[in-house]
Amino acid sequence: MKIAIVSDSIYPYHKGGKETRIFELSTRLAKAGNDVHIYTMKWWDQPGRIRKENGVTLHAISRKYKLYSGGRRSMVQGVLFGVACFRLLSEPFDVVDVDHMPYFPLFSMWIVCRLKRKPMTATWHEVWGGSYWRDYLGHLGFIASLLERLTVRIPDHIVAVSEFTAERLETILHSQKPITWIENGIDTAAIRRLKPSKQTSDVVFVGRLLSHKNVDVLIRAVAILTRKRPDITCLIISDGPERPQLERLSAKMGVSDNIVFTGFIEHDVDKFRLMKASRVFAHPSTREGFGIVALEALACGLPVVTTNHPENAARYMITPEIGRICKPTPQSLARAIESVLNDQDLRDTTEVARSFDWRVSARALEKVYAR
Amino acid sequence: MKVLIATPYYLPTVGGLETYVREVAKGLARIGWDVVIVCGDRDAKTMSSEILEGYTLYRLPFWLTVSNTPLDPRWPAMLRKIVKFEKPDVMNVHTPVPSMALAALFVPKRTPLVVTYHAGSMRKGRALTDLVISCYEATLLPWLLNRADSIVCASSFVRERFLTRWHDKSMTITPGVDIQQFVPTNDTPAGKRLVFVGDFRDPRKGLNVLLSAIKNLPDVSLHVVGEGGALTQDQVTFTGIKRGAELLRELNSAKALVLPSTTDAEAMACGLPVIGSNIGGIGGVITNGQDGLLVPPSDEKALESAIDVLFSDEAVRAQYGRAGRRKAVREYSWTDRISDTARVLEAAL
Repeated sequence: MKIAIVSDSIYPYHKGGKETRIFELSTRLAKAGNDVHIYTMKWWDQPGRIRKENGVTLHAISRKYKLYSGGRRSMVQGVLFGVACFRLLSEPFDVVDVDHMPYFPLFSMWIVCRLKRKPMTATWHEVWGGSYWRDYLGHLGFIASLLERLTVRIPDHIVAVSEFTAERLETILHSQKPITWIENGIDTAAIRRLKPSKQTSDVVFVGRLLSHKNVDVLIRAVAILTRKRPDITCLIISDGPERPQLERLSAKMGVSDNIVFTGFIEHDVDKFRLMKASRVFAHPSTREGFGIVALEALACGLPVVTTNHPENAARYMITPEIGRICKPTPQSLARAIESVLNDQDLRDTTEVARSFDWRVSARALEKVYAR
Repeated sequence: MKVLIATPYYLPTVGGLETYVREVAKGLARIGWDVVIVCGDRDAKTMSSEILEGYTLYRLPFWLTVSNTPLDPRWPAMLRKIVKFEKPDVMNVHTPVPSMALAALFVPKRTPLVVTYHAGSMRKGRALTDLVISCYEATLLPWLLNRADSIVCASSFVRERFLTRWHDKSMTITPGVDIQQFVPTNDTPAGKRLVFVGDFRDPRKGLNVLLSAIKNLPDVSLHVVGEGGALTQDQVTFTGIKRGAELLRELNSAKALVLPSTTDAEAMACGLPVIGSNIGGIGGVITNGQDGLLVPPSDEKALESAIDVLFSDEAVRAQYGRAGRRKAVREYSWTDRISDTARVLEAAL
């Protein structure tokens, strides 16, 4: 099958969750015997508009425009790349999968697909909705949110990267088109091979120290847990603007000996080693698009405690066999952690993580394309 | 050290030149060179790049092919662009197919140039084509060879007979054998099978002599590998053209190679004794009575008894085979040829 993927930004030239997803899926689709072509900007410096990498053919349909202007996604880049998509008129393909960002390519690809009589699939990473757009762009946010609403009507089939995004496509954007959700994966085999770190802990948190991650709730929960377990240890991995306040808080609660702030850890491998040497993953966040860290924790063999907040996508993954869902309050979180630490009947969480395999996602995607 | 190798054709097209370039590229990359290959590709629509086996490969599209020569007026500009980006220390152009060589003439002179010349004159015996080729060989080719800092010839014939004028700055590096791929099998093949490899439409290869020689040896069978129509004779199987792994299989299921052309070193690497006529370059490859047998050309009787000698004494056959393998490893491996090539390229700087 000749698969065309349209996305203005690609791994490893620009690194992010979306780019990683396209990279992991496209290389696997190619390995499965498909002819995979990605139409993008000219990210590479080598002369020539075509580049073959890891079995996938990259086509530059426009020069490399700046993705961001003034800290936000550039509108000009979106329009120019959208126009460049008309180049696909002269490209043969069986199916096309268009990245929803930056919206404009969806319009040109709609025309291309109608003229070529080819089915059009689009991948949605996140749904922003009117209020978020107004925060992001101001007045222009109104136009952008209108664009977002219009574009969900274009593709014949939508692939959402999580159940959460799929839900929001229906509830916020009122999409009428068939939606398949195909999650991100994780390389469980690579994590399984790692040796646990010597630095053991009972509870571990991983994430940027931002206010919506609710690390303060975790610190208060640890304080409650010390009443029963005075030796409990909690590792807080990574860094962020909230760190000084959080360190003050842990001193105030009298748990500075129980809580260790590791600071930023450069290599994922070291992070996974520390996680593998812990017993439960605390994930008190109230906003997650997919919740990749929760998945990483499962792959490391850790049960996950997360919150029932409506904007937290991580909660969809967690069942009582592999973790707990609690309210974002210290009492509730402490109870949930205690209950997991005492639970003898938990399943092997790596088994659950294995179902979030890139290979499985790639096969599911192949099925969507084959329709 | 960075080398840019320009070749008219490359994989997936297979042939002597392509194999030579690939072995040199892989070998140089293995000893720490930064290797960039630029080739023409009849399926390409636009210039593309990729990473392959440790080197970078650029494929250039072309408009038309005249007598196996890809032609495109954009090539000089494309090659210049690649040279400007990759900044190679030295450039290595493979000919006689002139397209890349001509493009290389447009690259600024500060990049040293080494020309590798694979075959003799390209003249083919067709009047018009030959006229064009003669013009090229009288004008542009000397210009290219004069511009070259040194010249590598793929056979001593090319160096001694065809490029005599440039003898002083040329050297011969013949193609080697992939001694890792062409290896003997552990078990001796059953039966008395001989193998012949080559274009047998060419009467000089002497397949007819071989065919009449084996008529008197009824239990001997023969596999003929190569281009040419099927002949009908019991004992004989025609396999068509085989390369690489398929050729290896053919060689490994036979007990000896007869009347070879260019495959002798491969057969020796596989531990096969070689029977050849005492003519041309063959005598230089086989040492009579050590790793094979040499017979006078067109002598059916002598050939017949040579085959008989090998098949009647398995110990002798095995001993010749082992000696052949040793010789192939010693004299025909790519390793030495790669260091020779590296030395020529470095000397051009």
